[in-house]
Amino acid sequence: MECKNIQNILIDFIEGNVPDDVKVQLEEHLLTCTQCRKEHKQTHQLIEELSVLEDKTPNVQLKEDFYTMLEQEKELITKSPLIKKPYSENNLSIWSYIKYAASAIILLGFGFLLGRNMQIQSVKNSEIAALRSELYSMQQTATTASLSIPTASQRLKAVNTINEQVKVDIKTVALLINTFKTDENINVRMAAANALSKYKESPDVRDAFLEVLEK
Amino acid sequence: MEKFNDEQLMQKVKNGDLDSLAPLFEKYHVRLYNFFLRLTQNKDLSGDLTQNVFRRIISYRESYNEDWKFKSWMYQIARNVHLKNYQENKFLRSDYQETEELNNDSKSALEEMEMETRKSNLYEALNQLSPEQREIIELSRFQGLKYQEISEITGNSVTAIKVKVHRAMHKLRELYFELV
Ligand SMILES: [Zn+2]
Repeated sequence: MECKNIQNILIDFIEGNVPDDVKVQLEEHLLTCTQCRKEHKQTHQLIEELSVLEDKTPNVQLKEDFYTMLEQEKELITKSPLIKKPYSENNLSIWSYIKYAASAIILLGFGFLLGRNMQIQSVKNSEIAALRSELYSMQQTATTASLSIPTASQRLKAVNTINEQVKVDIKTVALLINTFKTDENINVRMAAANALSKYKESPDVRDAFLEVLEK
Repeated sequence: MEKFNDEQLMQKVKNGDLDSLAPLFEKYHVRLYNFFLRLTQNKDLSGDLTQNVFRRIISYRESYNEDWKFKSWMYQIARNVHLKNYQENKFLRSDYQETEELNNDSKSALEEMEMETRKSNLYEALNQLSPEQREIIELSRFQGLKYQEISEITGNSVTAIKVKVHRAMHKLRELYFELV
């Protein structure tokens, strides 16, 4: 057995995770090679030392924050009547629900989807800009990195803020379309659909709805 | 009471039963907190990052696939949370002081001091590793994950993970024994 092969199995050897024949060969090598013996000894020591950095108990605040957040998220689910049906009453998939919503928008043009239960807060202009750029950067990247707006409620807020604006540029409409088509959260998609219903004359928006319908 | 495994619980969360996240939080939050604590050495931040992981689990519950091991999926999210934080807060100072952590058990003052020296040496050595090496040591040594599990989390092959773990430990050993 060569020294460089030993390096790659030293930890497993120390922790008893190598087959017997390898173990015997390694032990024989250690008897004859001072360098490997030193490395073995140090690695052994290091593994023991690392246990000094054992787990700490987090502040109680962490638990409290978690349960507060959980309640908030639960409220968000129950407050939106749309989410309940596909989940509990019947087995409609989320997409079939979206299809229904999209066709309702196309046929009726009502911004009824969200109802009044989404509380919309007025946000200052600077915040609007920040939210929009956040939403925009989220769209620019693929799945893992797109998690950049952490909660559905924050994304909802971003969409609703855009919806409140009187004038919206093309870029923002494109953003809303993308959110409508790809956001993982049904409430966010619904909010985007609602915001887009104002622009249903736009061919892009119409295409997006149709695309969703065809899915 | 019926007992559910991690994957069943997460499936329930996915289906809108958010309360099923509570047992998963109880089971994993200390581990995650320490995952972030050892990587950032900042207690407040580690609490926030732990919270972010569970937020993301809720936000992205619909993308969870029941065939995935929950633990691996959770660590994937934790890695992303850590990476994002690292990119944004590279220069954030540590608020970590071991002295606060002293427990009043029977250890003598001398033993305590010796312990503190060892800890600070270890942190000094760990801090000199690349972020990638620190993370692999965190996952394999502190979180006690198997090569197979780390492979699932990172998307690297088991063989590649083994090599990375050994290289990182080799480097850490050199750095550490330079200090002692
Ligand atoms: Zn040798």
